[in-house]
Amino acid sequence: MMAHSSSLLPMLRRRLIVALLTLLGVATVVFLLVRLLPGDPAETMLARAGAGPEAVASLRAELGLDRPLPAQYADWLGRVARGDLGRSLLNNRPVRELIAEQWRSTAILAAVAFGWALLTGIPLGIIAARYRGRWPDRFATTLAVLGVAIPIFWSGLLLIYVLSNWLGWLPPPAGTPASALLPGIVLGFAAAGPIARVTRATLLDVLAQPYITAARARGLRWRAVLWRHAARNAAVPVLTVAGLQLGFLLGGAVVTESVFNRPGLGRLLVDGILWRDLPLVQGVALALALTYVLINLLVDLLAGWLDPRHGWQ
Amino acid sequence: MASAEQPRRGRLRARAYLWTAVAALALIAVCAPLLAPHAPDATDLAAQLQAPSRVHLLGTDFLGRDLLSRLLYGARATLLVAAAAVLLAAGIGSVAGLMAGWTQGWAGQFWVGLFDLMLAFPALLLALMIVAVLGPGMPALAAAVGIAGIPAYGRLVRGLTRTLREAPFVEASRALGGGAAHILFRHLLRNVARPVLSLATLDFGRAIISVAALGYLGLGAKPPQAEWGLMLFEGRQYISVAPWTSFAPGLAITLAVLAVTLLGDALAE
Repeated sequence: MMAHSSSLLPMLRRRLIVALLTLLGVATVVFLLVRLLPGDPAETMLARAGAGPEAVASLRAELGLDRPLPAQYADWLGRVARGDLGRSLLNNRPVRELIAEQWRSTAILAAVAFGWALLTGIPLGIIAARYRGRWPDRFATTLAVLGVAIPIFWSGLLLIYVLSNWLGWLPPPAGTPASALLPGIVLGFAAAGPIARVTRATLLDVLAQPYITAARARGLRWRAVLWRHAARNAAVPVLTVAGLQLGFLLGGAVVTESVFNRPGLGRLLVDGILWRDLPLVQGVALALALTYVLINLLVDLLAGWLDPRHGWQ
Repeated sequence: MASAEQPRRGRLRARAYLWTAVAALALIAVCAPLLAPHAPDATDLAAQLQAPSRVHLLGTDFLGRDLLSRLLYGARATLLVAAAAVLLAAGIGSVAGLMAGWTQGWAGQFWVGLFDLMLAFPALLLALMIVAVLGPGMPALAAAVGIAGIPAYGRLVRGLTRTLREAPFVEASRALGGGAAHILFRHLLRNVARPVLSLATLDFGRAIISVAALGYLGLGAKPPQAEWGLMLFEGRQYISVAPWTSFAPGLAITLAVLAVTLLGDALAE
């Protein structure tokens, strides 16, 4: 235990440094990708308004597009570090404000989906491991594979169709807490599969260990074996895959929000790309990647705390 | 995930079925022009949103185009683009992974950092941004989905290479005067081929869904192209009057992903 706590701080420091470097890399990638977008954004923006070349030039100057790339990069990094993400070209509002408005919707969706994925994935995995090779295992396994194979944009559409056309049920109005339930379940179902698979695989792995056989030989019941011995050892792999799935949910939210016509960061990003709204795309991509990096850092630290061996790697 | 208790023969038979299914998909994609009863983009405004009939086995869409023909041509677009993406990801990812695992010091760390950086974005998000940069067109789509897949292969192959570089047969080859390129491409590549193939099979499922998702979002295939994701999007507006227009492409995507995912699972064992 002593060795464990003394190794925790350096690990924490190392992970934080790596996370910071990753964030800097992410910011660079986002900057470069968006600068590489085809077409002059100033021209694209003003063409819609029918403005002349002087207006285009002044907007270029305003956006800093007439300056050399390294200068633009340094300038952009400095502003991002201060939390200034620029203004949307579409409606001239600060990107930070737009993100602040929409992130709650995406966070609620991701939370419902993640909860649903854990609530269904872990029990399915346990049941599959408990009845290995028998029908509950096959059922759980099939469900897990289906969750991965059915694209969100189809399962969501199917669910809406069945509920509204067959059961005459209308989706709850947007903005209410209940409105997150349906998209959350659809998105969560897609993430439950990998969680169930890892739960099953690690449990089977743990259950094959000699100390489990010993515990069983002492007459310990399956339930007791599961909670007292297997659960602790299976926690880290399940946690790791759950973290990965949370990242997947962020990507999946982009699609889910479009299917369910729900506001959120994903919709904002897609709209930004479709309208060539550079600052908006940069800001939202940065916000999503930032969240993803933080989640991974959290999962890493949690795994190190749960299993000291993890930190020694 | 067929369990170990299943008799070996049953597993082999299941694998044979899966290979057959995947081969059939490939055949459909390649032979779409021979199989399609109508031209995929032949509109007939007098025959919009028709239910399945003898003339149109799967019905027609909102422009009166034959759905079965579009589905067959769609297999071509969706599956071939996904296949190209997987080839790109597996090819570049494997070579990068070999380098990352072989070189020590900062060069190796550079690759690891690059993979980690790419993995700092959810794969679909990365594909979305790259496709926005590369612009419309199927090659751009394949490149975007492929690039987003690179780090998974890079990491896998790097790990395998690091274990294998100390293996006796590598020592032996080195003792016999084998250079780095000889060892890497002659010996190591052959040894990582199997795990890479099994990852690529699973990854094919991801690629199909990504291609279709981008099509659905309006960032992938553009009308009037017959692509499954785009077809699904076009059909969704008419779902209450003509559900078949979105059900057929949805089912096609699901079945294709199911076939390659199950095959990938079987190969991973």
